[in-house]
Amino acid sequence: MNGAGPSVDFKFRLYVAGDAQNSVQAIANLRALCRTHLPDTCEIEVIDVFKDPQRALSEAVFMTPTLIKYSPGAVRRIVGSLSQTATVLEALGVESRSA
Amino acid sequence: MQSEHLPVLYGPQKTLTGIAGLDAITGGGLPRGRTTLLVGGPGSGKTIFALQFLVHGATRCDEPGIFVAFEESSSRIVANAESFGWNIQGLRDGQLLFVDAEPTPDLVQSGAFDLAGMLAVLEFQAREIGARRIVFDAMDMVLALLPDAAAKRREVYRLPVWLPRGADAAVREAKK
Repeated sequence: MNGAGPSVDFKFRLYVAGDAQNSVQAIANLRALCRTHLPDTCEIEVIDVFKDPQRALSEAVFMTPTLIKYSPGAVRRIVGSLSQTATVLEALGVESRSA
Repeated sequence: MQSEHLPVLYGPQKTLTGIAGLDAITGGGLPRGRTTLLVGGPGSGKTIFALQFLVHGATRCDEPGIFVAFEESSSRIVANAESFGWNIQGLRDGQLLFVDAEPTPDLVQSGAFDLAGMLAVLEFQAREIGARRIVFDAMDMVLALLPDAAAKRREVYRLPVWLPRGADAAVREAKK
């Protein structure tokens, strides 16, 4: 999925803490959400705070997992395992496609 | 000041706060290698106490420190502390580090999270400056975001377990 399509609209960075349960869930939930609601338009970069604490510091990421959306529109931060899809979509400004 | 300490026969080693009376009655200050929880109402002096502990460590004990600010921005805290004549700006060069960790007001939360990210960042910084003392100011601000008592307890326990790898002593503050 990384940097794939020619029309990448959504740029995400997901900060995780190793293989902590909520981090693993966040990765799965984000990938599923992209597949279902934003097909072929997502670019996801996953950063492990244990391997790259300097980047976590530079973006002031203290809670994990943290999802940062850079585009389109304003930068938004969502903290947590992203388990409530409706909340995440709303924060991202995406209309839910489910009927 | 040093000679007034009560002799410590048993129990953990201590680390000086620089508050003469407190160091005397506690037999040398706060327990070394442990976390100390500082609880008090608003305005009771928790933050000032914690800063005093860090400034004393940095200026008198050659023990650099880190201050993690969860509630007020560190620039405001430093400005308040300058009125005590502590010259914190001068200490910021490698002796005292301030980390702003206030949750942003527009933060959206969905599902479970924890503070592992914070500890990874702090461990990195503690290594950079050789920090021996660390303060978590207004820990309750972040704990309030956690969904239930079990999650709060888990994050509170995470700190002392993590501490011995990096620092000598920590102060954690929370409002009553």
